[in-house]
Amino acid sequence: MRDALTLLAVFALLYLGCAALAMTLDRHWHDLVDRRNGPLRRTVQRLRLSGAVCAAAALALAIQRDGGAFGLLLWCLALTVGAFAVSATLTWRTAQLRGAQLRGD
Amino acid sequence: MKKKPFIKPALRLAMLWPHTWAGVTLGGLLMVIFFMGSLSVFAPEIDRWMMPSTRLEAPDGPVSLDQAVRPLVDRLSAGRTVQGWFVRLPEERNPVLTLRLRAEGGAVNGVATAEGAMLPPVGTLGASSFFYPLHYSLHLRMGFIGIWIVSFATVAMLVGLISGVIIHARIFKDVFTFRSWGQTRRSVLDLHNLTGVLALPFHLMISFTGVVIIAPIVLPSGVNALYGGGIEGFYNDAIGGFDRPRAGVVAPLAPLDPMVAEARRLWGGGKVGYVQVLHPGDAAAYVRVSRSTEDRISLNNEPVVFDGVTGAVLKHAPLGPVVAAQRFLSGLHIVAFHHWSLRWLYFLLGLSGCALIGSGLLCWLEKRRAAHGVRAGVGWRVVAAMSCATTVGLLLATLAMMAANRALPADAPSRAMTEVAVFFGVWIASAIHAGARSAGGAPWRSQTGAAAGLAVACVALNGLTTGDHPFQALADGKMAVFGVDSVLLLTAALASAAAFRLGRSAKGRVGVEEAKHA
Repeated sequence: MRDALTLLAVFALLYLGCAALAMTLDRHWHDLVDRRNGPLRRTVQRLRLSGAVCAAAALALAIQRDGGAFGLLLWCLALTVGAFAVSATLTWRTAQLRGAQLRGD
Repeated sequence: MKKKPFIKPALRLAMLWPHTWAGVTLGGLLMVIFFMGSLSVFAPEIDRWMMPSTRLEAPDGPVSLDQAVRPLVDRLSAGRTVQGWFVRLPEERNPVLTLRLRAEGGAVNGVATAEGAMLPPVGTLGASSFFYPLHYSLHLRMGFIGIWIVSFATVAMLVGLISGVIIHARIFKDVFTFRSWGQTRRSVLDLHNLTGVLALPFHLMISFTGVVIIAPIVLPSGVNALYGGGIEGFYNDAIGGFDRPRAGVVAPLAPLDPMVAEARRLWGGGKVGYVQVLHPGDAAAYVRVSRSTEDRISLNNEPVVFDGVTGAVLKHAPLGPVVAAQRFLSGLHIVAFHHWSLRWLYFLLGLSGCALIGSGLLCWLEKRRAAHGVRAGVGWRVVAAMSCATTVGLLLATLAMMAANRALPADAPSRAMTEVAVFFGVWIASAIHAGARSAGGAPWRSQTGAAAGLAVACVALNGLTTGDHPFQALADGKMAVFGVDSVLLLTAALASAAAFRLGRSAKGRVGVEEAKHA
């Protein structure tokens, strides 16, 4: 049970970390937050910092759960899956907003 | 001041043609390698599905070699002189004893329960003897030719990955970008970039370690110079092998269980993976006990060699640093360890490699379609047909083989070979169909629809012939069967959704063409 929760936490933290990094990119910020203005430099720095903290916490949890070799491997592959999940979320949210705009809501 | 680009446009252009050529010419082959590799990650589970008599529970404790295995060896040899035998001990994913005997007059194989009861022949090559060898050798064994072709394609994959990163204009800005709306061409390119960049660490790792496994075969100069071409001698020295000829003097084989206990003491714990006995009944008999690598990434199975008559340890040496590194990298590729999350991640990321290659081929096709308009040239048609046959066609062939595995009666003559014939027959048929219908684009929709039907048929046939329908399998704890069935049903759902969407977009495209002509 604890193992499963740790695993879930590793994935969740990496998803959050990737999401924070994604929001520092102008394209996604414009699509989802503010169409005219990009993110403030301070916001970008904070997002990057929280992304890095999430990734580091996930690495610590993964190594604590599975040991050095397995933990590092798990972290690397879960990072990719987290990034894919963020990309899917961005596509879904952006398509939804675009649809709403096209309908003129 | 204008910022100088990190990668010069000239370099980018120079990288484009090898990327395109490697992809278009070897994409189909790489697709086969990646798809079969992804399936091989779950080879023992697919084996349970294809070999219903082996859907057993793993034994609780260790199996006694003297009480359970040696009577089986005597039975299989049937009085002939045995030159050597091999047994793989049952474990969670492979709950059977697998025996191989080299005796006078040929080899004998057998599968038995952990208690030592012989099982009927499995009547199939299964995933471990068909899909897995297809992955690394294309079943072209003579002169390692298949291995050579696969390693060439793998190096081309590495070229494709690295040149792809250089070509990609805005790699950091577009890291997460997937625009599902708008032009198909842009969506396909987004998907290609996404699977290539996000899964790049996995793809680089899996391609590189794939070549490392077979390095002694594809880079033979060192072995040739030191061992005069004798790769056996090299393996004996490198990974704890041992060899000595038969003495010709009769001597009884000592009990094996104490040797296993001694090996476990030398390892400091761990489970036994397999045991080999050479020249049993001879004074020069020796026994090799290898550790299971289920708890480590490395394939280092720390073999301990015992004298077969006295039971004394003959050889137990740690690996040299280079060989230890090779064993670790090989283990990273082969996933012999027990770690379900990592196993699923390997499977999914392997399939993302298929998506990468497939979307690359589609990219090429869509771009040329836009350039040439409606009239397709021969080259375009060949690539379109090949892309269809190596993606959906390969899936169709795999599903057809699994359906044939459940539909053929258990006592059908040369059952295993019939399944293989079904696999290649369906594959060739799908390629011919794709080639014949490629004028307006390959028959993606009809073949995807057929794949959905076949996947459902596989689950239904398994339920009918074995009674292990998904709910029953789940209730009985046959997780391998339940898992394979679930993935088959998911395949059916995704394939039918894809066929439906392809039908809709085909209608849309015809509408646009008609509007243009009007």
